[in-house]
Order: sequence, then C-alpha cells, then structure tokens
Amino acid sequence: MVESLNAGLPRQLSIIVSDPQKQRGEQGKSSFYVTYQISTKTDDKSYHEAHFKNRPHDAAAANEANIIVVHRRYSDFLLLQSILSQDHATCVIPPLPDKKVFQYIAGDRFSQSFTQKRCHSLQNFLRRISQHPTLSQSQVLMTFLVSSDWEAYRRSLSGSLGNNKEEVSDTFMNAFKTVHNQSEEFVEIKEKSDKLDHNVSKIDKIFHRVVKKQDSISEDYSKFSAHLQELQELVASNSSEDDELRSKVKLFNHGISQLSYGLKDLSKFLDYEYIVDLKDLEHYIDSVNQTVRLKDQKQIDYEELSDYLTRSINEKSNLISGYGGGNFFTSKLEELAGINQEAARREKISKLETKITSLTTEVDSAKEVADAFEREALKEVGIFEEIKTKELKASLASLADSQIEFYKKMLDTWTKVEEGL
Amino acid sequence: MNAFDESDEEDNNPFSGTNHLYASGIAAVHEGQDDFVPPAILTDIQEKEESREELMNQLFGGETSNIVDSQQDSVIGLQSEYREPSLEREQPQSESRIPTFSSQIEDRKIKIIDAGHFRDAYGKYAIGYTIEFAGKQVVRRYSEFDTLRHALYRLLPTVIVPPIPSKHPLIRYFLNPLSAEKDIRIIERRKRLLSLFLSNCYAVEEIREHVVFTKFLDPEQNWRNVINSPPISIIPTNNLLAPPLQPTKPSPLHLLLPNVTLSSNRGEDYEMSEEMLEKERWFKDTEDILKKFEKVLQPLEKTSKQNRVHFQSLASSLAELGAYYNAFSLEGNILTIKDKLQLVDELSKGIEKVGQAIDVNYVSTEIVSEHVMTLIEEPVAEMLQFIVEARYVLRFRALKMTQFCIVDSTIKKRKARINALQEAQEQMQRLEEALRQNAEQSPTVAQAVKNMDNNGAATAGSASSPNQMPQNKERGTNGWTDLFKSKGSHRPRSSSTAKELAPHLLSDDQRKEEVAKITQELQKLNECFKLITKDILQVNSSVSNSFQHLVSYLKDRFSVIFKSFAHVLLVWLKDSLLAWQNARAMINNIQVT
Repeated sequence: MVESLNAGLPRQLSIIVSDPQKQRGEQGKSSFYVTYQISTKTDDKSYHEAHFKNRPHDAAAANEANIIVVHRRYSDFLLLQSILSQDHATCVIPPLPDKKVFQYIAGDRFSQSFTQKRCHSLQNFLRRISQHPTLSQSQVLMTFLVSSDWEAYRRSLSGSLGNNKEEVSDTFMNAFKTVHNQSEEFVEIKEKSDKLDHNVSKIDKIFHRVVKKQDSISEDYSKFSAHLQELQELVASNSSEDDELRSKVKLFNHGISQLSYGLKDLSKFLDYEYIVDLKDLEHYIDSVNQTVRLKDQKQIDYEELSDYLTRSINEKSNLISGYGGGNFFTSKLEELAGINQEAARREKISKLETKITSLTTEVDSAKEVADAFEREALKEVGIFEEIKTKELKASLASLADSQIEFYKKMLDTWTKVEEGL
Repeated sequence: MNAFDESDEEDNNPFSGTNHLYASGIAAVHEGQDDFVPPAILTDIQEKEESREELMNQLFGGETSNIVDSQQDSVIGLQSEYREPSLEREQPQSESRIPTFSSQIEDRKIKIIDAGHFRDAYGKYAIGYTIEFAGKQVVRRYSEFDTLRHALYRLLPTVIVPPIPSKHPLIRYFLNPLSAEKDIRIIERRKRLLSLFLSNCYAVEEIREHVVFTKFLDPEQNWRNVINSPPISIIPTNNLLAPPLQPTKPSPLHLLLPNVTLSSNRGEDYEMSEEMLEKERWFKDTEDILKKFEKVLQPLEKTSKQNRVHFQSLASSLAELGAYYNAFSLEGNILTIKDKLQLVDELSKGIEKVGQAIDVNYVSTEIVSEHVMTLIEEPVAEMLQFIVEARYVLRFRALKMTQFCIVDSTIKKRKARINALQEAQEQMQRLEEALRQNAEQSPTVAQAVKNMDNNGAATAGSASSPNQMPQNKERGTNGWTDLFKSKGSHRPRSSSTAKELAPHLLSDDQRKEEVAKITQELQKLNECFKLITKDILQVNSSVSNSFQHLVSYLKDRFSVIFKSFAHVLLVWLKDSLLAWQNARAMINNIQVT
C-alpha cells in the first residue's frame, strides 16, 4: 500500500511555476483556458532522459544543467493531485488552490490578480510535492513535469480513474464517533495544528486588511501628487525665489509619487504572494488534519472490533459459568419450547468460540493497520513539519526582503529628496 | 536564565494589559530557552530592542524623541549590541529632533512651554497655556487668545491677523468640559497652534508693537482689565468711519465719511486714474493668487485628513498583526517537538523578529499618522484660515476704495450742480433781462411774464411735497453724516426740502440758497477727500505689505512642510528598514535541511 521511503541519493528538484497565459481552446471558439509554465531544474538523470526521449532530434536536451519546461493547465494539476492521493493514501497530499467557481461565473478568471495568485499557489503545490520524500519519487510526477505527451496521457486516463466515494461515506458514518484512546502525541498534534491554523488564518485576515489600507494610502499619495502638480503650476510664474520653491515642489512630488508606486508594489507582493502562502499553509494544515482523521478512522475500526471481541468473550465466559446467557425470560421460553437447555448452551458456546477466533484475527489485523496508519501519520506529520518550516522560512524571508526592498528604495528616494529641500 | 523572570528584559507579550486570551502570557515557553540572541548575527546591524511599552511611551508620551534619538545613535554606531531599555527611558522626552513647527524656529522669541490645569485670578480652575516671552512666563486661557485675536482684528483692519484654532463645538463643551486628562489631544493641538499664532503675530510689526499684544504677554496684566479698558473698550463699531491704521484715535472728520457696504455702488462708472487702476490690478492679482492657493490647499487638506485616517487604521491593523505574529512565535508553530528543539527555537525567533518588525512598523506608522496631522493637515488648515483672514482685509480695503470713489464722485457732482445752478442763474438773468426789455415794449409779453411768475411759484411749491420721500425721512439724521446719503442725487436734506430740481425751475433765492449750501458742503467734502485720499494711501501700503508677507509666508510654509514631512518619512523608513533587516538576519539563522 505504501511505497517504502526511498532513502536513496538526495536529489535536487526545484520547480518554478510562472507566466500564466490565456489560451484559446482547440474546438470551441469561445472556450479559453490558462496555461502555466513549469520550469524544472534537477540533477535527476531519469528526468532528463525522459525528457530527451520525447525529442530525439534535440541531442543537447539531456544535459543536466538544462531546465525542463512544460505547460500545464489547472485541470492537469487536479489530475496529478487525484492520482497521487489515490496512490499514496496515507500521505499528506498538498492542497491545490480553490477552484473558485465564483470567478468562473464572474468571468474574472483571466484577470492578472487571479492568475498570478493561482500561479503562486500552484508553485507551492509542486514545491511541497518535490520536497516530500515519497511523493517526489512518483513516476506520475515525473511524467507531469517532463512529458510532452501529457495531453494524450490525460485523455486516456480520463473517466477510467476510480473515485474514493466509499471512503467518504465511511468517514461520514463514523463522523460522530471519536477515538477512545488517542495517543498523547496525537492529542498534542491536534491541539497544535488547531492553534497554528487559528494563528495563520488570523494573520491572513489581518494582512488582507493591511493590504487594503496600504492601497488606500497609495491612493492618497497619488491624489497628493496631483495637488502638488497644481501647486507647481501655481508657483510657476514669478520670481527666482519662486523657481526655488517650484523645484522643491517638484522634488517633493517626485518623492510622493514614488512612495505611491512603492506602496502599490509592496501591496501587490503581499497580495499575490505572501497572503497566498498563508492561505496555502491553512489548506496544508487541513490536509494534515485529513490524514490524521484517516488514521483515526482506522483506529476506530480497530476499537470497534476489539469491543465486539471483548463482548463476545464475556458472553462466552458467562455461558460457561452457567449464569446469564440470555435473560430469564428467554431461558423460560426455551424451556417451554422443550429445547434442551444444556445442548443449546453448548451450541452457543461453540458458535461464540468460532466467532472469537475469527474476531481475534480480525482485531489483530485491524490493530496492525491502525498501528501502521499511526506510524505513517506520525511520519507524515514530521514531513509536513519539515516542509512547513522550510516554507515558513522562505515566505518570511521573501516577506522581509520585499519590505527591505521597499524601505531601501524609499529611503534612497527620500534621502535625495531631503537633501534637495 | 529564563528571560521572563527578569524585569528589565523586554516583555514580548503583545496582549499584556488587554483582555485578550493571552494577556497573562502563554505557557508554551520552554524551560531554559532564554532570549539570548547570537551576537554574531547582529554585529553589523544595530539592535534595537524595544518593548511595546516603551514604544507606546515614545508614541504618546514625549514627542517621539526616542525614536529619533535611537536612530541617531544607531547612525553614529553605538557599540553595545544590546541596548538597555532603561537607558532610553531616562533620555529626555521633551526636545524633539523632528522639525515640527513648534520647534523648527529655534530662536523663536515666543513659545508656549506648557499647557494644563491652572487656577486663574478668580480662583477658578481652567486649562491654561503658559507662554514664555522675554524671560517671563504668563498663563493665558484659550478664550483669552480668542479675545486677543478678535481685538487685534478690529484694531488693525489693514493687517492680516494670524488665525487661531477654531473653538470647539459649544454643545460638546457643555456635555464634556475640557479636562487636561481627557482631552490631551485637543489641548496639545491648541498648544501647537496657539504657539504658532503667537510667533506669527510676533512676525508682524504692527502686532508686535501693539500695546494690546504686549499687554497680553505681560504677566502683570489682568486680561479682563485689559479688555475693559482702552484701547479695546473704545474700538469704534464701524472701522470704516475711523482712521484705518488706528481706529481708536479720535477723528471727527472720519465720521463724515459715507458708510458703505459691499453692495454699495462706487458711483456711476467711476473712472479711476491710471495709477489707481494699476494698484487695483495688483490687488486683483493678489486675490487671484490667493484663490489659486485656496484651490490647491482645500483638496490637499482633505487628502491629508484621509491620509491620516488611513495611516491610523493601517497602524491599528499592524498592531494586531504584530500581536498575532508574537503569539505565533510563542506557540503552535511546530507539531512534533521531538528532536527539533533547535529548529523550534530558531523558527520562533525568526517569527518573533518579524512580529517585532511589524510592531516597529506599527509604531512608526502611528507616528507618521500623527505627523501627517501636525505637519500637513494642521498647517494646511492654518494656511486656509489665513486666506480667509486675508479676505477680510481685502474687503476692508475694497470698502475704503468705495468710500473714496463716493467722496470723489460726490464732489464732482456737487461741483457740476453748482455750475449748473450758476449757469441757470446767469441764463435766467439773461432771460429776465430780455423779457424785461421786451415787456417794456409789448404789453402781451408783460402779461405773459406775470402769469409765468405765478405758475413758477406754484410748480416749485407742488414739486417739493412729493419729493419728500419716505426713505429720505428715515435716513434723516442730523448734521454732516448725511453728506452722502442719497446716491443718485446728492442733496443734503438740510439745504432744502426740495428734491434736486432742474435748476431753471428754482427761484433765484432757492438757487442762491442751494449754491451756498453746496459750497459749504464742498468745503467739508474736500476735507473728506483729503482724508480719504490719505486713508487710501495708508490702507493700500499697509494691506499690500500684509499681502506680500502672507504670500511669502505661504510659500515658506510649503517649504517647511516639505522639509519636515520628508524628515518624518525618513525616520519612518529608516526605523522600519532596520527592523526588517533585523528580522531578515534572524530568518537567515533558521537552519533548514
């Protein structure tokens, strides 16, 4: 069920998703879609070989330094995700950005802000997969990243992929059951992931507000700049002292408009990248929770079974000791019906014995499954942890970088402005 | 050991002092993890450790001095990596190095050094502003500033009196009288603007040397007495009927000048001399410039107000954000702790630094918002008030001009009338002469002359009664004040009950009487003309002085606004940059595999 973790040579797999392009559909004149360019850089030979295979005429393509470029659309990502999630049921599959049905209706899905955000989110998705020890080994991933025949591949698969409806209903039936003996580790994991989720979503929300405020400040300064332009014209007329003031107004205005642009750029970064990172992290936490729930499911199965087993054993021992074994009325009824109580009792005991034997093996295997799931879940949480930490570092770093870039640039601009004033 | 046991360490709990869930700290701090920051990271980047409390102090306590101070320090390059927070607390909070309007003129002669509760001469508590001038201190209330300004406005009609902050709504005052504790913002604002008012007054010679102004600055003077004594108590109700530069100086002749309003006609198509026209054009141009300034300033004021509000709400969002980052750094950033203590620690510190950077952003944003108000919004509003004040002066000058035109055109009309009367007299004499000669020869003519005389007398008599118009009666007062009353036909009521009639309809006696009256009037009018000509000269020169002063003041103001706001922005940018660079260093320190 689960691929053994390939502890083989560590390899580098860095992926950039960029350049969303609006494309016209093949048949329908009015159908458009957006493709994203995926650039992969890797030292894994097999990638280059696979890439090379497709285009034998291009001999230089197999070079490891080369960047493999393919174009995929959102539905391709969905397919990849669905294959991976069925192949690796215990893994935490990174989430994809929302389908955003609303934007489809509103016709907004080709806007820059929409595709840029989605592009960044798709990159997060692929990076997470590439950092996952199991998922990154997937052949499907390689095909996705490399193959020029993906289109055909996808078409042949479409419709023939099973779905996991069963699991969903199963999960639903047990939705109100909880695990009795949750291990301490998982109690803590749950608690912490809740807190993490809470914090991240709060930060996400507030950042949203910050972006809005920054935008309105940027707006203010562009208005400001217009007023200053008028002032500049007003003092344009007269004396030499006016000339001095005019050049001051001009300089100040330059600073103000730069500030306006700078703020806008900063807001754009926050909106298109940092907030997307936060959102993706929230979704990723959801995925972890799903995996943990799946583990819980298996544990509940085991607990139910062992419960049943315990009850059967109790019943059996009651029968053997002669008490109970059905209530007073049942035994009275059986007596009246002329059933030989002793024989009936023996029969029941032997039935229970067979049941207990089969249950015992089932409980054992359920326990094995549950334990395996628990191990896998723990491992997955660990992997999530690593990827998340890397991601946090990267996103915080780019946040800080963008802030530093903004402040540095503004500092330069305004230092010059101040000198001139 | 544990950083949280030591009181002089920073308190990172962003929620302390609030009702928040985390107000009393978060338990998820690991034993033995102290707040040591590896010095290697921070040697080249100046560390600026500031607790929230201190930041708040800087923000609302002293006038942001610390931010500037520490900024300066870091520019110089303080050697210690770790600044003791207490050091910063000890630094004087009073002097600010940000050039605000209240401190940019270092050699300012007058300033308000304090504002707060005081007990006035009658034992009542009130908010007083302590003015320091010439080594003396005097406490005045807002209402006293208000009366000073009003007195100056009336005493110096040709001078643009600097504005003071507007009164606050009376209803609010009744509901909630000013108290030093509650309305610190209003009081601070008034302190700033009143201080500016005094300096602006001091810059104007007419005001600086005015006795009322010097009395205001004199601690020996009880302001209530000053108000109730000359010159304030004898300010004439109508500035136009008094010497323009010194309305309180008695001048009976000024009372004879026509009382005009803006709707008064300057006299039909009054033609001014070329010299005067040029003066008029100059004032018109100046007025236009002011209008243009106003057109720029009004939207500027509005935008800066919005800008301040936006900055404030950005600051409050950032405050919240910083708090969540700090909470985030203390808990829940890792799910499985085993084997990863080091990582947890590094990550926490990275996040914490980001939180701190956002906190710094918050505080400096708050400061920017404060300065948007004090450096842009208030000065711009003040400039607009100045322009409104300038309008009053312009209006005064226009009224004075109207007076001049009326006097001049009245004189011309009177002279014309005298000429007409004299001509008519001569004509009549010639006619009579001819008639008399003819009548001697012809009895028919003699009869006609006789009839004519009778008719003439009757006409004159009947014409007089309907001309006693109601408005003439109403307007009628005694003496020379009526000199200019009726506009179209300037006929002093005292001279005759008759309206100005065609000269040939009057009798000889009437004509003579009128000529005598008008000649008498002309004498007065000529005196008035001399007076108003002098007035106009004085008014023009004083007003144009005042306007040149204003225009250059406005221009200076812009320069000052630019310079000081650029400085404020720089402080904001520097602080934020530094904080983010610190955060970046800590993020770099997170070791990921």
